[in-house]
Amino acid sequence: MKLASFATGGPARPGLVVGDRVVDIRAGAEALGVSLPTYDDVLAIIDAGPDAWEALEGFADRLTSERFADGSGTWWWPASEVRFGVPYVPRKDMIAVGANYWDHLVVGYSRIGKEPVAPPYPELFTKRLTSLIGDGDEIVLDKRSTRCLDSEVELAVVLGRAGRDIPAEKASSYIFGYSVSNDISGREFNIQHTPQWTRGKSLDTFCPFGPVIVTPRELDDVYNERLRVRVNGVQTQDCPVGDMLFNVDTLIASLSEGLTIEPGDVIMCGSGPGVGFEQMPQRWLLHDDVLETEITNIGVIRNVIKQAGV
Amino acid sequence: MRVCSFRRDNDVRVGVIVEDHVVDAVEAARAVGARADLLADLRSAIEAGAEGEAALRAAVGGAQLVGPEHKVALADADLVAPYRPLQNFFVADGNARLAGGKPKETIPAFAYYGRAASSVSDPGAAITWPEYLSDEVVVEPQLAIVIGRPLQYASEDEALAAIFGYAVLNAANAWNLRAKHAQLMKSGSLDSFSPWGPWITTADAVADPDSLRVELEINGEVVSTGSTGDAAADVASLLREITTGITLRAGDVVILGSTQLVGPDGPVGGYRVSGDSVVGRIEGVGELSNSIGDRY
Repeated sequence: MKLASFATGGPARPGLVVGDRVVDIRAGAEALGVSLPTYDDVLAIIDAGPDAWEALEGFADRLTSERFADGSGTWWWPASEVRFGVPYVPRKDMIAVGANYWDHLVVGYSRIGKEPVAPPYPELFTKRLTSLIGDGDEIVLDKRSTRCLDSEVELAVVLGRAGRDIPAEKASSYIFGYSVSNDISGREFNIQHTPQWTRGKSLDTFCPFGPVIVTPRELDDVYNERLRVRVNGVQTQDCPVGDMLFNVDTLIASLSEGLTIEPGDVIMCGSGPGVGFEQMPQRWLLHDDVLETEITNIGVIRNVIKQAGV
Repeated sequence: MRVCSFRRDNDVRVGVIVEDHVVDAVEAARAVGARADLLADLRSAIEAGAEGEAALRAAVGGAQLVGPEHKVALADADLVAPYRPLQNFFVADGNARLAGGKPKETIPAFAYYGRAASSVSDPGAAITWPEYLSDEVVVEPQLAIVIGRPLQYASEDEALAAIFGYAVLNAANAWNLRAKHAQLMKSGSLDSFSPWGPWITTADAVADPDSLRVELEINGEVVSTGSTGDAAADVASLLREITTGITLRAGDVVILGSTQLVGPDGPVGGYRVSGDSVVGRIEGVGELSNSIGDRY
């Protein structure tokens, strides 16, 4: 299933995306006479655990095209007519991973005149929750903080169970689903200001996330999907999700060493080549640029850059 | 004013500390007709801004009116962490003025990192970690700055006016994980690595947050003393710098960073082992005791 938080003018509520339609889970279950618990938001669904997920998957399976003969505007809407928000706000930070794609770090190192070195262990850092935005929200370029605005499409792994010291071979059972995220960066902070990534990547609006969370059964193999970014329609990033140096299982194992992961925690798995920092000349995002962040068969987040004070 | 969270009848309650007693804040606020509904937990009370703070102050005023069943001697109180923040403790690492022997003006910038909220722990609690992961754990008191009002592109005056209060965070770090992961998050984010409290001393009761004596006591011996004034960035300029692009919300907690120079190159040599006791004291703010538990 594909879960989302969506709004049709009123407050956001949890929905299922079926093809090009969005189903209000509560209203849809009522309309079709299906008994489901009431969930206030997507995080409540993640918290509810595997039996509840299975029940929702069953409901999603019943949403075949003939079910949509009527009910538009009451329990389902064309996806083009709703607004997708951040799927949910995690209980702790977005956990991100630096330097996890070889082709990305090779160019990154060359820009600072160094030989590339693959990190021996995952470079895990936090992105503050105040940086989260959803599809359609604006990314603020405020020159008081950064002039070197850059973007990095990343697979967001949504965790569904609590655990600690999880061996890699058991890690996949902790995955609830996958989503799209962009690790927006103010490069001055990353290059000159500090060797720690969190500062320049935690600025307000610097974490587009969404528009949907896809459960693993929806994808043949997430590693075969592609990470893509388009700026004003021109593709700047395009590489296989599976090119990561540390795969998802290894990242979960490493993060959970001595640290309890919780339902709803998110790991952003790093980005591939083609970011603005790598280009010659370097290409930063500017006012009115349209940024599309995509992972194939998961979704696209569209955000426009707005310079503060313009 | 000092406010805390304490365990009472398997429930965590907000307390105000008056004359060496912890007084149930909800009961005390009720006694004077104040907004007890804002005091369900300390984080919510602080998030409620001026109204929440007013309710806490009213509770101090009402402390004399509540029955003995609603107060407990501070020494006997089961204090817990003030609260678990909604996101990471944001730490200005490398903020020690004398870090690596460098004079203040040559330190280029802070290496910020986040201590995951799940690392939060209680006063008195044992600090533990998996045996396979580290035998290089250090612990030091750091000043926790509790934000009381939203801050965005704040001036230093605005930043100081928005501080709710201060507490002690006994920051544990697994030194080997700093190099292992290159990013500092994991080093400070293991479960139990961020005990804080034991209470929050409100900003009005701390005359100058930049000249507070900081003491680290290990196994009954003071092994290091310093001052919050040893930080390269004072509290106000640190918040001004962070809020240049990063909004801080009421209830967020910023950590001033190390002023003690623990670690392999600092004056406090050696790593903590099972059975060690660690006390962090920050003058006028609080004293926080923890122990090192068995590794697992």
